Amino acid sequence: MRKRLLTILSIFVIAALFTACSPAANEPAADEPVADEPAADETYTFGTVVKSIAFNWFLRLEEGVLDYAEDSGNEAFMQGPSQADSAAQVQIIESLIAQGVDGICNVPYGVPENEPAQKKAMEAGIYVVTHEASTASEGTVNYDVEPFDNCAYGEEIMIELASRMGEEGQYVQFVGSLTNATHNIWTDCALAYQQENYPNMELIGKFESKEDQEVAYNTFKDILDTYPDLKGVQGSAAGDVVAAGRAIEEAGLNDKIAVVGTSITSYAGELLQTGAVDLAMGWDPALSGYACNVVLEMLMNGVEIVDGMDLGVPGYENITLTVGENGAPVIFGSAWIKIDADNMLDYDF
Amino acid sequence: MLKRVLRSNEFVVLLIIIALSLVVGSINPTFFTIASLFDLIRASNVYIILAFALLPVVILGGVDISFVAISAVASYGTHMLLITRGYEGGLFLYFVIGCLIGALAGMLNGFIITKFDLQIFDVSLATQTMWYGFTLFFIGATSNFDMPDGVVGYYSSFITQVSNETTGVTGLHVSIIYVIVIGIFLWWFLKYTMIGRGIYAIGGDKDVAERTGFNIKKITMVVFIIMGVLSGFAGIVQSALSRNFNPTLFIGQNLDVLASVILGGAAIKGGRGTVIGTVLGVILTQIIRRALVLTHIPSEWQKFVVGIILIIFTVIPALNEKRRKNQGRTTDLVEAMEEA
Repeated sequence: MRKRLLTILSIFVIAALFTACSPAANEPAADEPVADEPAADETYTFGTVVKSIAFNWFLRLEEGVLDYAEDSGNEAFMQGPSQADSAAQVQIIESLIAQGVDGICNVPYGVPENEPAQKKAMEAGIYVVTHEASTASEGTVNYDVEPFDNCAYGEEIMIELASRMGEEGQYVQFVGSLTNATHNIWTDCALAYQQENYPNMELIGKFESKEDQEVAYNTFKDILDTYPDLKGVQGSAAGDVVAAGRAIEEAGLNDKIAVVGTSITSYAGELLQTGAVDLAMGWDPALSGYACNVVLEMLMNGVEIVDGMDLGVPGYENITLTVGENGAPVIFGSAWIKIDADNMLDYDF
Repeated sequence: MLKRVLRSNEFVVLLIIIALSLVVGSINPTFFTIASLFDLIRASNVYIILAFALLPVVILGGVDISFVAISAVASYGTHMLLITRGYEGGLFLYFVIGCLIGALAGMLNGFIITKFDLQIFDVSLATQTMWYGFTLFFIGATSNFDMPDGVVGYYSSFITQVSNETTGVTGLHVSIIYVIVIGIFLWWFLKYTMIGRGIYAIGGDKDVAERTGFNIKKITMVVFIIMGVLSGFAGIVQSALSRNFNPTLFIGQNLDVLASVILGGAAIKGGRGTVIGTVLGVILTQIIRRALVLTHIPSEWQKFVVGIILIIFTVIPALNEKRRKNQGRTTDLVEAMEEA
């Protein structure tokens, strides 16, 4: 008897868990105004869809969307599944189409999986601008907005690293993995830039952190033992500079070795303060969300987007317009941010 | 007796470690410094504890891959529980709660396996996914870098330290004490308790063990409780060392730990495996990993080289085994007589 009770009880618990797990239904708000024929002084409605709302990263992006709404007077909001999932994301896009929004800013989890829904929206007369999707196929987006060209970003990291190394000495590079395309573009372009501009600097090698701080930490300790003259570190995954910074701080070498790389305040904050990490670089998702909505507004107003244009968003003052590898038009800004001990609290994410 | 030691797996691994160290050290003499030894120990400690967690399961004749997820849920869960309540104390409470969570999670594996008579691997495949998913969804999805005051500085709590002008300060980290204490306990447990002997018996031949009167369910349960407790413990040590608690701690590293246990002479079919061999297995894996940086082998080559080394090192003990078998029973008999 007790056993049977236990079984029934556990079934209930499991059932309850599943109900709790299922992504909260993203019902479209029924009272959303439906846009009819655009009038001169009418406001627009833009929906931003992200991979998942469960990440601090996208909550930061939402701040940019809401800032845009406040600045422009248009209605702008953000939605996303509770777990990163393309199917759930497509459902949200479809509900936005049904609502009749004017534009959708999409940050697709799986780029190809989201394309049919984006196409459907465009066929319904809705403008679609994506972010983090420069590989989108032609005809599935109006524009893709990216904070920067990855190669230019890698060069910028090198400029910062070189200036902190006195433009001379040995340095190492870390990538999350040797197969991570983005990380390798950053490091390869940084290396090419160094070879051209800083002949007195020397790359020892590119090491894999496996996106794991302990791996990076232990590898870096061995690097310190093997190359005692090391003067610089370039990190790619957010934890790379943290791991190198930890080893450097514990060894008491803060002033001897420069550490520059992609990271964020919540990861590197403590080490930026102690000086073990010199500079964290990256991009601010709030600005990406803001810029994405600005492009939608320009499309609504019939403004032609051209190379060299100013979107009126920090980092997007002089955009580069190119065509992505699968034919989608891509807008690049130069919206990298540089976080150091002084401004780290402005980028608290 | 001496012959037996010389022919044991542990001794072969030890020889390989010495040979490899000589090669690495001759290419890069820094390998022979005390600082380098301390770094090696620090990097090995957590993985030795993880390998200890897995060892009884392997001896029992199973392969578990969920212990890494148990580490994650136990360490991250404990941390979020304490930090959100303003805890500022030391690691002791972390260990108590973390080991308790680990024990419960381990019991779940043990319960499902014994209740439904399932394969250890199949169940662990499910529980691994479940625990990582549980941690990400119910507890949190981002690494937490807030440390209670009592934990700050743990990463450099050294028993003794050395410093060098160019490479800075390093030391013998206190976590080596855990390794020694847990190692001695596990050695005693496996060698001198009925349950410990039972683990070997079941791994050797389950049916015979059952007929001999070993309580298979109870022993399996104990094995998984040990696995859970040690996994939770290792997770907390690792997180305190790396100064952040991570919901996907150790993800993808379960096979590396298994490889270390196997390198250390434990039989994947069960029935064989020792504490000292496991320690040597982990140290060997760590030296292989370090050797690549120290001997200037480029990263692109690392995976390939590690693979080759693993093949060589798994074949050597097997060859040794084969030779022993080819020599026939007489040597064993002579040996037994010598000992008698």
